[in-house]
Amino acid sequence: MIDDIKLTKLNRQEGARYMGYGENIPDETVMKLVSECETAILAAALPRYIYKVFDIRECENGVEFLESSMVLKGNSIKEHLSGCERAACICSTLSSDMDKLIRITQVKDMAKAVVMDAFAGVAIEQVCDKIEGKLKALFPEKYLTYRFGIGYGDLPLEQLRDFLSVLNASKTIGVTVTGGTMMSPAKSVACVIGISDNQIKSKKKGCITCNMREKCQFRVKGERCGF
Amino acid sequence: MDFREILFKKEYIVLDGAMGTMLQARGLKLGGIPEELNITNPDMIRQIHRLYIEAGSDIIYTNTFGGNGYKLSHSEYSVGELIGAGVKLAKEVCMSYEKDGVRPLTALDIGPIGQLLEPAGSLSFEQAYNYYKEMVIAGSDADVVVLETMTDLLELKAAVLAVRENSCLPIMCTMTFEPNLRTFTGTSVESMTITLEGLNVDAIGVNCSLGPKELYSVVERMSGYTSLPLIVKANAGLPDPVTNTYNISPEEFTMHMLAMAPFGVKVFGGCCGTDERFIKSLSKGLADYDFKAVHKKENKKSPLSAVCSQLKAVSLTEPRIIGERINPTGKKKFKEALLNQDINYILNQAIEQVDAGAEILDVNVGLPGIDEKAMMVRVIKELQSVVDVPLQIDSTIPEVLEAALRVYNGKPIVNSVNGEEKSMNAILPLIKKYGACAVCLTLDERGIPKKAADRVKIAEKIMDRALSMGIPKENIIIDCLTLTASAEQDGVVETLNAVETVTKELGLKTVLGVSNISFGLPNREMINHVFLTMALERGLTLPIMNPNVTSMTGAFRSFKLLHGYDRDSADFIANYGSVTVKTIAVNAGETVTVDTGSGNKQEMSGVPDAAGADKNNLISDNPKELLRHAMESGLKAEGAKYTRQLLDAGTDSMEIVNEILIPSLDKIGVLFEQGKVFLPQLILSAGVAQSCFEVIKENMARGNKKPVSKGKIVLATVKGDIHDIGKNIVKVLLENYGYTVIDLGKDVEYQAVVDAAIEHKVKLVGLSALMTTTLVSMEETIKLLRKNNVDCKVVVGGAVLTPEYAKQIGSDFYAKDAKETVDIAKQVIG
Repeated sequence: MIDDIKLTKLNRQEGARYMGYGENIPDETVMKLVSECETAILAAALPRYIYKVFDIRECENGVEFLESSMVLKGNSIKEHLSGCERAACICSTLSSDMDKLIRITQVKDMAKAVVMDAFAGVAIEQVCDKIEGKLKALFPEKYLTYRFGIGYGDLPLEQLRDFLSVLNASKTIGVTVTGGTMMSPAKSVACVIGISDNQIKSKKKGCITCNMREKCQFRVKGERCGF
Repeated sequence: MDFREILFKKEYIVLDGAMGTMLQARGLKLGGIPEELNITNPDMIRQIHRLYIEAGSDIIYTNTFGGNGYKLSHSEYSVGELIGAGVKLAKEVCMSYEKDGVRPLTALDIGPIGQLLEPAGSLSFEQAYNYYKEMVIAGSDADVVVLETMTDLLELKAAVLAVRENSCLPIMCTMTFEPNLRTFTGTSVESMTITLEGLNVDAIGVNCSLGPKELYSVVERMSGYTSLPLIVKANAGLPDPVTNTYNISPEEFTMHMLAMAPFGVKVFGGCCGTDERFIKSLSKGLADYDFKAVHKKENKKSPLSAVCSQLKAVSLTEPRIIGERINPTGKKKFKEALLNQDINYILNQAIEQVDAGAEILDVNVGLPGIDEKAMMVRVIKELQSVVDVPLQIDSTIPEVLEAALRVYNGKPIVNSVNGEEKSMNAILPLIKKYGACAVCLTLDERGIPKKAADRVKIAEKIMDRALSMGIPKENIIIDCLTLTASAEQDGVVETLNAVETVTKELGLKTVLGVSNISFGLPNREMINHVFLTMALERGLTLPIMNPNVTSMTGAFRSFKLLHGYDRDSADFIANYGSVTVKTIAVNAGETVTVDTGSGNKQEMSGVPDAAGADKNNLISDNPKELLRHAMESGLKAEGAKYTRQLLDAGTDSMEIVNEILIPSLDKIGVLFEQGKVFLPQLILSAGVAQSCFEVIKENMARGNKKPVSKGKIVLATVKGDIHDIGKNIVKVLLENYGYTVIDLGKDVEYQAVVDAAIEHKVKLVGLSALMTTTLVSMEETIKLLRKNNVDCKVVVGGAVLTPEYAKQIGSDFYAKDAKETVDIAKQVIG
């Protein structure tokens, strides 16, 4: 378990986008909520993460993670990791206090809870950015792919359980998965980053690889979520 | 010798080292199921057991850590097969080392299920219990059960009860702590210790997560709260995140482990990263260690008088406020909330009291016409997910108390037992079994004695009975009973005398319901406040009172300051230090003069609303306009204020609703649809409307008018789904349009939706799901509604739903957001 990541501020523009503002700027009342939520989140969030780097091998139905019993299935992950010799499996979380904070806020003030939830989402993504930075520093000569979340494309969300088990995430950072394949604590991320010796063909993240594309509220408004 | 004998007789006990580390070194792949090796490669397991015994282990853990029904659901072997085989293997190895009637012992190793308990997760307490029960029954041939690497105190409690109720085996418990002295789910060292001591397990301690050096502070703190033998099974230092290798040598490990012996650690072993070399070094170190020379703790330290939640321990060595507001007696709105299963209302009452200064909360949900047991369990589960304070479970029905005691995460107070034989026989065994504190009422078959001396006698009777059952004195709290001064004036002094005698002569803690004293008299607050101070001075530990009354809480805090409990007045200053500043702020604020509409100008102190009441741009001084402005700008306090003004000025409440609130909501709803305002603003306005409705409802209640509801709607986040923020948004909006929402919460069983729809005769059911994986539950819920011919429409919503899919699973409506749900409700209900 590693807990060396500390967040000092949250990306407000990103948070506003999560709340459906697009390029609009929230008014004064909402901005005040944003400030309060930012303070509360920075105090409550306890970022923890774990990652393991595996040698990988493409197989018929997906990608094998050597020295583990895991095969991540589907064409999306195959494509994501094609040309990579290795991949880092990552799980990160803001820990259970964050969930609690959102629960309490829902009881006290629903509008604030909406803001809190969005900005907690921003916070966990910022944690992931930092982890990605650490990986880049660890493999300075290599090329890294973007973060591919478990459940993206045709990679079944049901594999989340195996994924967390390989990382021993419940024991190392306290992240478990519920029967309905949701992570608990809720503000957690599980993803894969491919590592390659060679420049990776531009595999732009985008709506086409996203399994939310048909239902995405951003797309409805002609925007992008940033994926 | 059995486990309890060696625990009692030996100076120390050596456990084994890691199992997982050994298995991985022998080729077990990450993500594989280690327990299968008990059948597929028993020799490997035997060899590991032997290595540890030869290194000096007195007790070896079976290879069954994750052998529960959930983790083994993908295995071709059953729990019974794998655990049975694991225990058999270990036991055979132990037998082969028997010498002079002494042999190493086998501990049935049980770890966490691997899912979080509700409400954070979706695993129910009962499911967790059943998983553990299955393991315990399969492994009952072991010599002792060890529940280890636990992070959730409630899950651990489920496991302890499963062992207790399905075997006669002794129990060792260890939890895993982080450097902040809490587990991943927040359990504090104190709470773990107090709760497990109450549950009467044999030894407690800590394992995994950190190296021995880092566990020092955990063990030190633990030793301050218990006289139970302590266990430490530490990792071989800290792991390297990349190579996953641990960073200390066996010798260093041993050195740090031995340093913990003076804290009362009696059971030593190794966790992740340790192998037989560590155990050998540890055994040798322990053999050479002079246990007699270390400062031995007193043999029987008296247990601490304390209660706790999972996160927070509250010692009863000084006065503490018990909040009384979670109780329907005499409260119309509370009753209504119970009938409508409005858990949020109850949670709000809890948070408000804690914010006001309550340190423990009384929880009473008894009301004719509701299932008190089910409601109590639900409320306890929900409460402990939002407040940190310990709870006092308040019911007259033993079954309700036991159901609540099972799911309570920590050590609670039970309210109450009394001097009647029937009551003592029913309640005291529960107090003993679950290790709770008990409120003991000084009344018996003959009623409440008039004289203090007779009440003290009853207190003594209950105490003697409790002690004879093994309930420690520290867990007994006496209620000398407050009688109303208006009816029994002379009784007041008797109550106070009884409090003093019970405190001084019996050495017990006391509790009193304070507010009763003033019933039937004017200026109740004043009487309550003086009585509280009088009682505290006579020794009262736990006043049950309304902490939201500032004068009461102020008197209480002043008492603690003046009595020297509140050292350096820290708590007092923390609570009142800014009050003067606040007063200045009020004085400095502008004074707004508002026309109430009836000709008399009313002066309002102009506390600038931080949310930005822009006084330079006040649209009008007409309260109707101001209310509209407040609605559209999301100004909650202003909304309530202007509603009150309008009502005071004689405006009809329905006029306010129909001409201001609803049109304003509609207007914002339209702007929201047009993408001109956004979700937070929509909800802010709904919040303002809510505060206005509160004022209107209170006004109606005063005039004995029944608030009008447009109709009931059942809302639920479907089974398996624990993300309910979307559903809660919908709820707020619906309520503000005048609908009564029966909120079933999250992770709701299919049948519960059907039952509620039938019971409340609703025309509309709203279902929410966030994940693709839980859409199935949505479909199943709709199927069951249709199968039962429930005459209602179903509206569905959630991030991953589409109109097409909504149709496909048999719903009547798809709502893309909260606003659209309101439109649908209008269409269906009117």
